[in-house]
Amino acid sequence: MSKLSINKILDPIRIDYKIASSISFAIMILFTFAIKNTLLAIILNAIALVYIYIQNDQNYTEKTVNNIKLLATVTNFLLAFIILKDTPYSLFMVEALLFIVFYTLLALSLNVGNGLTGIVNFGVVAQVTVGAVVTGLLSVRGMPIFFAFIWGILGAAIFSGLIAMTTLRLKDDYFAIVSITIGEIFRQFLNTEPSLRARPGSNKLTTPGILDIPQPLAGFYNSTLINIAFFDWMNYRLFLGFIGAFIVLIALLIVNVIYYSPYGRLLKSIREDELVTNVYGKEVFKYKVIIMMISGLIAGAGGAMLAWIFLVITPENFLPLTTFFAWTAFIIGGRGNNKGMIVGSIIFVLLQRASRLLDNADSLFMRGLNSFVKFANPEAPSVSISYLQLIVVGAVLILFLRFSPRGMLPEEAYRPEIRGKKLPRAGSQAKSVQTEELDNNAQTNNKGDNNL
Amino acid sequence: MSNILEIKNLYKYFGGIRAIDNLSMQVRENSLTALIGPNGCGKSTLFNVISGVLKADSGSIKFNGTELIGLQPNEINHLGLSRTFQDTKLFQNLTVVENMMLPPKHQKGEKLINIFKSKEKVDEMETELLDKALDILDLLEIRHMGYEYTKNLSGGQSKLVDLARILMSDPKMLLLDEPTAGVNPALTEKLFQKIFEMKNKLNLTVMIIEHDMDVIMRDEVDYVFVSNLGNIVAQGIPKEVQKNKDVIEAYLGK
Repeated sequence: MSKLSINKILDPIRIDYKIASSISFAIMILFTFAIKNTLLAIILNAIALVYIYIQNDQNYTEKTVNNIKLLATVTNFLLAFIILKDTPYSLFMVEALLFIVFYTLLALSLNVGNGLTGIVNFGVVAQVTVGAVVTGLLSVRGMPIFFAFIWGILGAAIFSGLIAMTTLRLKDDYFAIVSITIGEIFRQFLNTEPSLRARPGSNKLTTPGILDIPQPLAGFYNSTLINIAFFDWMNYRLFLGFIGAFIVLIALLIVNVIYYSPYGRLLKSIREDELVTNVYGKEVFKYKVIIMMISGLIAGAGGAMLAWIFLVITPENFLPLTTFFAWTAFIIGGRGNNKGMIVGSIIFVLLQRASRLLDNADSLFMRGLNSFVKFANPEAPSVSISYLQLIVVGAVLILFLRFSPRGMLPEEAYRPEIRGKKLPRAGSQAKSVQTEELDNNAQTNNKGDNNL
Repeated sequence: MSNILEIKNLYKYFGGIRAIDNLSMQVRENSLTALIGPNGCGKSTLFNVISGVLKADSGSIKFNGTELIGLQPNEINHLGLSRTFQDTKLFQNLTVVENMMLPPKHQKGEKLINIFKSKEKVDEMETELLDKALDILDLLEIRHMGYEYTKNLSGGQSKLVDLARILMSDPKMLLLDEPTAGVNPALTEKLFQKIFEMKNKLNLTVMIIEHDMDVIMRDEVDYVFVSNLGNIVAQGIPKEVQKNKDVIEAYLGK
């Protein structure tokens, strides 16, 4: 879409991408701290962000452009945090941060599985379930939270490996169907199995679920040390968000190493053509199982995060909808781009949760909507805006698939330019040959002149 | 010269269709062998069965004395038998160099632990592979395409890159499935020159599926198999085969 009209309009005023982006950044930060009007600051920040996104300068590699986009998006989100910190919306932002962390982990897991290797995994929620249940159950039964977390992600990885070994020989779409089913089977299992119900101090619960799950570093947070060290507006939820961001960072580093390595190249070739990769001597099935395990590891961390966010796990937390939300974040972010997963999750979570900001029966929007509904059908009950969120998410997904299937941050080429060894690009070599010829001609001309 | 590839009584049926029907053939080492025949006579199926993409119904295929039936495609590749596909199956969203850096065997970076633990060794090997890839690109005179995405290449260029890619795996024997299909005559000539050149330089055994009779009848081709209805109907040096009645019948009709 960006290729259509906006660029043509901006074409005459296009300047160097890095300079333009820096200016936008500066303006963004200036607005945040200088403008007292919250709404205006948010709108101006959004404009600056959109400006960074629609720039399309061929002089820079995809990688540079993507880095700037990532930096701009994350900065903008953090600035919004600062703008909104004393308003009633600060709670919304903190909750948004927690779910951004959750969906980033899920999208990263999908990016390893689908973006890199091409496995169509619709069973993300199954991996999340294992991670959440194992972490929750073990920590409720008294295991230190850190070890419970490690067991949780390992459990999710082993579980994913077993699923992969039994079902991955199925072709793409059939595997997708099976993987949805596995998530549902696991949810029903959680619903009925009594040994998967617990709360601290008692293992016999009549309703399914794990209650009162301890949160990580809660004791550390409550000590006076941290209260002095951090800002006064820091609460535990926000602190949990930072813990989650740290987990995301580690996951991102691990995935990035795989991505920019010969291993990642091998996985990409599996994505492109499984048969040819096999014919060229690579044991495709083995790699796919390993990758499912790594994606399970990351999604399991997401599951642990979910347990810490909700404090309570019930089977209703693991509806297949979570899988499709993760896919939406993945597609918005840009399949095959790790950094894109952060951007995709930020956009997705803000979109999905934005409707809650309007969910106030006294707000102008809601009064207008309700009077419209009452006008259409006097007997209708009053509407809740939260019903809109699925429509919004679905519409955005369709728009992205139609107009920008590569996502916000498109995949970057892995160029093995090791230790300064550079190839001339297709155009540039022809150019260099021409210039050489020109030089030769010039020299012969000079010689001719001398002879004369 | 000894035989590098020996096929005995090979059968492959697709339902009622006999794709390969009691086929036996031998390919000599360091030879350039052509396999010709009308459409649907089982040439590509034969390549698929040899390379392990399809499972044979019965029979035996021996490569350097090793039985290939029952082996996975990757195991067959590791024995030194590489093949190309009729429709150049390049990895579309990878660059030419990336395409070429996949086939080499026993790469250090193929083990997950190595890319975290011994990153320097992996990098070292990558540098070597890149050098090798560039040398092969030089040999084929397409070095300037190195960092181009293969989806941006033309059909003829794709065929060259396919050839470059297959050479990266240090094969002993190449199975080339119509390496010049859809390529213009001038480039076809160049491509064959490259194939002959490389065969001699790297001591390869090459087997080619080809429709162009002018190419088959060249001096460089050592031996020709003519296939029809899943079986070999004629074989010999090009000049003998050209005179064979069965061949003329198979190609031109009665």
